[in-house]
Amino acid sequence: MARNDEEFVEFAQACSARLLHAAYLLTGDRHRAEDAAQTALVRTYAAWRRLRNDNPYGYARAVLVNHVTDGWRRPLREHATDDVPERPAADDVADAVTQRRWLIQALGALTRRERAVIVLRYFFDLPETSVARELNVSVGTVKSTTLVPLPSCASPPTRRANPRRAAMS
Amino acid sequence: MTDLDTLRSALHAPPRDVLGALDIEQVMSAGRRLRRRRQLLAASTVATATTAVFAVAAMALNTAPAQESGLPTASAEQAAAAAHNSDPSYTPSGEVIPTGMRVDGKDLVFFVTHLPETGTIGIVGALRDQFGTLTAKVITNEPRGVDDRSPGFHAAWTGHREISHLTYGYYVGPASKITAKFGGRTVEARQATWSEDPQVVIFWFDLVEPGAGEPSHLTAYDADGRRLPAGNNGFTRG
Repeated sequence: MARNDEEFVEFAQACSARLLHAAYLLTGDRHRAEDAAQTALVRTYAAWRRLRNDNPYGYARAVLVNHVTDGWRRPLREHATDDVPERPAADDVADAVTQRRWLIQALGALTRRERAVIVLRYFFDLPETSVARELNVSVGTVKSTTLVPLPSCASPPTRRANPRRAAMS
Repeated sequence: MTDLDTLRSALHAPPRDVLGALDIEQVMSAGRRLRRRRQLLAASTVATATTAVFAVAAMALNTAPAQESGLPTASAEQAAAAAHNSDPSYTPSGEVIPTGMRVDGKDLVFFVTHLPETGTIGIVGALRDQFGTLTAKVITNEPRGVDDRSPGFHAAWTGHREISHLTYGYYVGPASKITAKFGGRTVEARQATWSEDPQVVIFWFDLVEPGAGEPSHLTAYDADGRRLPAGNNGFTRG
C-alpha cells in the first residue's frame, strides 16, 4: 500500500467513528448517517493528495455537513430495513440509553438548521463564526439558535411545533 | 451540571449500539473511482491513445437534431469504429442522444450511465468529435439512497462546464412537454427518451448566454397538457 494510502487509512480509522456519530446527530437516521459519513470520507480520499497536510479532518467535516444540508432539498425516502426496532427499555435502563433517546428526540424537535448549528457548535466545538460560515448563515442566526431551549432530561421529551427563544443556563 | 454541560455530555456519548463501523476499503475504492471521474472531466479533448474515451456501439448514423414536437426515442447512430473505454463507470447505457448543438466544432450529446458507487443512473453531457470519440464534460445524478426512478424530475443541473451555460436533467414519467423559467421567461426544453427505459426522459435547454437568468419553475406536462408530478424539480448549480 502506498504511503499516501497508509496515511489515509490511519486518518479514517481515527476519525470515521466521530464523523459517523456526528452524521447520526445531524440526521437522526442510521442509514442516512452511514451514507453521509461514507460520502464525506470518499470525497476526502479522492482529494487526499492535496489534503493530507492541510487539515483533512476539517475538510471531511465540511463535506459531511454540506452533504447533509444538500439533502434537505431532496424529498425524504423511506428505507426498507430488516433492522429490529430498539427493544423497550427494561426497568433498570442504562443512563446512557435514556440520555441518548432524550437527545435524539430533543434534536428531532428542532429544525434541520437548528440541529446543524447545535452539532457544529457543541459537538465539533466550532466557534460561532465558523458555524456561520459552514452553514452560510449570519453569526446572529447562530447566536440565536444556540439559545433554543431543549427539554429537560428529567422530563419526558415532547415535540415542539414552534420553538421559542429563551436563554440556556 | 448546567443544561449546556448536559447537552455536551449527551452529544459526545457515543451511540455504539446503534451505529456500526464504516468499511474503509469500500471508502477507498469509491474514492478512487471519484478521483478518476474528476480527472476525466478535467481532461483535454485531444483524441489520442491515452485519452479516456468511451465504447460506442455501432448504430445508424443520424445527424438530424432532436425533434421539438412528439416524444422521439433517441435516434440510433452509427460510430465509425468502437472506441476503447478506459473508464467503465462512464460506459453509455443505451443509445447516445444527439442534441443538434455544436460546441468548439464538436457535437454536444447526452448519454445515460450506471454509477455503481451510488446505485443510480447518471446523465453525462459530452462532446463527440468527427471520429466518434466522446469526452465527458459534466455528469448529474441522484445520490445514493434516493430512488432515481420515482415519478418526477431528477438531477436537474445548471452551470458552466467549458460549454457555455448548460441546463439539463431527466424526468421519470410520460412527459410530453417540459418547461422552465429563465429570468421570468418560460422556455420549452428539448427532450428525448432513454432507449433502455422509455419512462426516463432526458431534457435540456438550448445553450443560453450569461444574463438569461437563472432557471426555475421546472414543470412537466403530459400529452393532454396536464401537469405531472414535480418530484425533485430544484436545480443544482455548478
